[in-house]
Amino acid sequence: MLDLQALGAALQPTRQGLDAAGFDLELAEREQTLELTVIARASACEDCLVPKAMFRQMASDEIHDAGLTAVPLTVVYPIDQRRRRTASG
Amino acid sequence: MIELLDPTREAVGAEPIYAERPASLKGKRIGLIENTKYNSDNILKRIGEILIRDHGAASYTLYTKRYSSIPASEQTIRDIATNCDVMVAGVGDCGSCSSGTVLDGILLEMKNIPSASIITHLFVNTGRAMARQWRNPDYQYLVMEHPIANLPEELLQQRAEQIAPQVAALLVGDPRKPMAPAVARSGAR
Repeated sequence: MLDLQALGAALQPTRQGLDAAGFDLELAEREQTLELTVIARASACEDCLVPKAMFRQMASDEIHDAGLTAVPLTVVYPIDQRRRRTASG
Repeated sequence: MIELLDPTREAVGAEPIYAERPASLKGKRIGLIENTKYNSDNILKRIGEILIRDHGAASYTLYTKRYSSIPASEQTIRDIATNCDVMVAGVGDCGSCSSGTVLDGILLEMKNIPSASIITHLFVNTGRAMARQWRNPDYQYLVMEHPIANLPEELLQQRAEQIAPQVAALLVGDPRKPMAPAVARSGAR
């Protein structure tokens, strides 16, 4: 079971950057994977998001730098959430 | 047709090297790459003026990127490599524009143009991630306090005055040596 509190603390730099661009970050454990969901607020600048590969690398680096064990990551961007909603009708 | 632009790449190949540094900025032509983010042009031009005033640089030329989130165009890179002696890029004040600004510096260094990329402090890790992707994890870039978009004229000048000495130091000094932390501190670890 993942320690979401510790992982959340480790990801504070990423969270601060996202916040500045109008996003929130949610963490969840899904099948032994850490799912990072980026949620757009009304003022969000979606063009400001980095490519997902880079986002994963940043998150992995921050987890490593915090001395935590590496975990598989999935990243969900606002566009993915819209696609899911569209797909589910 | 939709054009997809991804400035990241697989980390392969040798590490990029830094351009050879000049002994000073005296008489040097400065290329400024502004990323279209609000106030980036204002602060870069002020830095250019300070480098002329305090370090004897000859001139500066402002280049504007097509889009903040991607690196400067090949044409801009070529123009700077041909017509400028050193380059300053900025100001990365969001995720994608910070990574793009760091990449501008790396690409110009690869063209043997000493470069200084400036991002804001909330995006240090973004710059670091881009540097790692380009096999240059210790690539030196400069950091100023976030944000800059809402700064009045006097604070823009203050930020420019604060960071200009570090810009000059990065353009003429050994970029492999860690720089002394300051308000506008070095971002690489």
